[in-house]
Amino acid sequence: MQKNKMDKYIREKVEKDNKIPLKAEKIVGDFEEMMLMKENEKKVIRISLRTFIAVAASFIIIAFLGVNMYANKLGKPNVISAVEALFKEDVVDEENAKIEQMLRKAFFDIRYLNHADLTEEYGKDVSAEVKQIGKKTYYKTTSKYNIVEEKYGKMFMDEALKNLLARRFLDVDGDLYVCDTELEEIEVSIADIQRVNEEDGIYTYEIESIEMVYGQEIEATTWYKVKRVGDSYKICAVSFLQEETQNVVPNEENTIDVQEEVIDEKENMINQEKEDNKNKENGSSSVGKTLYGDANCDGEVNLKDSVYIRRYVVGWEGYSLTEQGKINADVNMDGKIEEFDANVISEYLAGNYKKLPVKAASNTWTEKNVPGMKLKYPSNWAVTEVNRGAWNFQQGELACIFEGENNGYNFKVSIYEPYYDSNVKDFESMLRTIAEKHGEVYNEFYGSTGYNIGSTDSNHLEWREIMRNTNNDNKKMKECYHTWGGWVYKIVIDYDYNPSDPSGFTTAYRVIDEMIGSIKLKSY
Amino acid sequence: MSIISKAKNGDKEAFTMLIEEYKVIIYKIALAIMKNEDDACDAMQEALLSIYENLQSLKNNKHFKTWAIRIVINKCYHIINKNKLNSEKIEKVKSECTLNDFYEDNTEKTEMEIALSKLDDDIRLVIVLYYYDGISTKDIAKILDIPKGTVQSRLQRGRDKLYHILETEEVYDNAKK
Repeated sequence: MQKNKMDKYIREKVEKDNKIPLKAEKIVGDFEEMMLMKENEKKVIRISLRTFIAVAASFIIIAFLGVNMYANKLGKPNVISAVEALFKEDVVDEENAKIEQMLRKAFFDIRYLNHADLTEEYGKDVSAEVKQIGKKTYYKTTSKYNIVEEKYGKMFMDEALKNLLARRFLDVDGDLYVCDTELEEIEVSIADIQRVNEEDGIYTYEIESIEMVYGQEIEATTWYKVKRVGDSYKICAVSFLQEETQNVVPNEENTIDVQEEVIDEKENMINQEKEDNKNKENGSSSVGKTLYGDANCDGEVNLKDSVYIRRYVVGWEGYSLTEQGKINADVNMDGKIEEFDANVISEYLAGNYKKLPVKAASNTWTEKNVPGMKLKYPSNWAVTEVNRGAWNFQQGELACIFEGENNGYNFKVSIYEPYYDSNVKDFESMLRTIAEKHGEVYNEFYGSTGYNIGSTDSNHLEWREIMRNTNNDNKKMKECYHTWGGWVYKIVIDYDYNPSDPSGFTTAYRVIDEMIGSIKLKSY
Repeated sequence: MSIISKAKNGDKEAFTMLIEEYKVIIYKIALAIMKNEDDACDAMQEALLSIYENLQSLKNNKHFKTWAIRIVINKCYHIINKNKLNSEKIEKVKSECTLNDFYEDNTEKTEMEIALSKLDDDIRLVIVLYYYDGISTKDIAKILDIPKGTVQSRLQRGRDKLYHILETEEVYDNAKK
């Protein structure tokens, strides 16, 4: 949800940043002037009066015929109404631009409303009791209900507003309750907006958008009915249709009012019940043919499986896995069903994995003591101890190298002996020192990524990573650092990476995640 | 008839309307690449002329936006290449555009422009295309001729960084008040 929040925040800033400097304005102005001057450069052609009359008459006849044809095309009964329509077109253009601007804002506001964690925005009242209505859990906020009505009421009319707010909000005696979110990460962009219908003063606009849901691209179409209210326009209805990378002709039956569901929840529950009943009747277990990725056992591997696993993982009601479903869902064969399996399916559907299942990491691990720490590594990897005799007496020197392959990628993990630096008090001072050592500029983003950042748990050590330039796109190198009491722990990871074929890399890299995640400090 | 069709048919007023609509994004893209107002204005001027002269060659009006953006980007790179002999200037741009510095000129900048200047070049352009003009990641990949996955990762990195820059500055500004 952080992503949606950031997205909205940036969009708001961008919306305000709609000016260009005077110099650029002048260039545009000069350019427009230059264009008009070119138009005014008229050529003088001398013709006789008779020719002039003939040409003028021809123009009048052609113009008359043209306007008549235009009138017929527009279905207008006469030329006058066609001419009116001609002038009206300019007004329509202006009106269109105004509505489109409002729809763009509404479009992103709806997405935000449906997916963002709103308790932060409206202030969570932690002392209040949580309300459970159906499957939804509502949290009381410190705000009043009318602030959301006021905010969204500027764009949406009565019924549409009611439907929109009902999805996330609850009004209890004027207090504002917000329901928790589905935690779906989406990235959305508008591909096209156009007016498709006009009837009884209500305009229907169609917005085509492309949404990235867990790495899978989905084309969606939304229809907005817009009505003029005073000097402005308001949305009186919204219908939604989502497709998975294919075009579907919209009809009334498959549109839903202000709702966005990739899978219909009820349908899933019914299907699940049906399947359970069928199994009970047959007296058989639900174990059948294994099709990796097919978590919901509908015989296909598609985005529904990815979404199904995510919902199963967070414990959504109606999203249970059958025995076969559990086998199918464990696409990285690590014996666990977790969000990563859903990610692998999405990546597979996007073409980043050639087949399922994929192997996550080594199945067998060996533990190894190295200076200052112990860690586990894949048992089939090669271990090179460097200058073993001097271990624990060569601060900052290379001590041990682990080398091996996972999922087709080669890795080399070099462990350095910890060194003490009196200037290092915390992570920030450590990163500053490293930056200076490498002649780099330290700022708040230097080493801002890594593992377990902010963790104080000794079982999950905090590591900060810094990418190093290798001058080779196919070779990557990163350094990971941990610090404790002035001691600096350093690990260097070298690995192969083929940018033109990144398939399976994420899975392959999990071996490094597990190695670093397993590190425990030893007394030194 | 759409504004683009009218402009293609030589309607100067329609073309003017078109330019008015797209001038902000044209400038923002040029600034994202050129990194200073003067060069951005030069690129913008050349791009406007090129769009005007070549509009009739545009086959599908639906592609106007991506087509125009491609022209702006090409013009920027053309100017950069032209100026390459002035290697000092390039070095200056590189050295001065570190994460902590502003663009090299001293003209007044908007909050967004300052924040954008702190992003890496390749990330900045993706962010501008995505947020200022609402271009999809698929189209950005086509425009920049890079894989979609690269666009997505740049977008993600850029979004995180931009958010933190903006938020930090907001907190800082509020604190100053």
